[in-house]
Amino acid sequence: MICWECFNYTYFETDVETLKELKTGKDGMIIQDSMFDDYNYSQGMLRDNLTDVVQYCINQNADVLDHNLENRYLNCARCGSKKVTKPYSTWTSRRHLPIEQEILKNHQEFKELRKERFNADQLPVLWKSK
Amino acid sequence: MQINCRSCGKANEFLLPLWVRTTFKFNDDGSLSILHVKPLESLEEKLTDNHVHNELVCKSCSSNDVEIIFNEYEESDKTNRELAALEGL
Repeated sequence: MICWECFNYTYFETDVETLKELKTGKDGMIIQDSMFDDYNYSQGMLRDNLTDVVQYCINQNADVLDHNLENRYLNCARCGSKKVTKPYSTWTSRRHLPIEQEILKNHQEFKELRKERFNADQLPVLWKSK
Repeated sequence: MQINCRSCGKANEFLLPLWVRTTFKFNDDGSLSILHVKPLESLEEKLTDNHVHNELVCKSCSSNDVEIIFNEYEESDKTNRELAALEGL
């Protein structure tokens, strides 16, 4: 990801949801991370949600931008700008053939694949029981 | 303050979701490192908010049917006041 205001490509901010545990007792209320056995569920959830948001922004790219071309989830941690996108687009008019041409080009390979599946139970016998 | 689960009857451990602002960085290998976490919600304010009832869940049975009693001594205070009033009469 890159910020189009300051060209920072390292530090970003996002809002994620985590879980806290409330323990009530005679001494009052204690707020702490939620533990299941020795697994810290609060920290695990925070990391998972952060990874999810970042991967979603990387995969969706243009879909996470609003009409002002501002990212709805991430913002730059240096300048605070929300103009954060992927630094490049994977789409190019020269990289891919039209799908019809691509199918024709790979037709022989597809036929072999289907043939392989059709003859899957007729493989040559390598040994015979006496 | 006391929180009771109406489903399983336990009153000690509950889970509450909270939004936080996370500052992170991309490492050279593509992984993420967390630099800072800032709470966006005050847990105390959220507890006193009426909408928290749907979000607060019991850790034992995952039920969100919980009852929050802000002053568990309120009932006994009231009884004491009534007794004092009767004695005064």
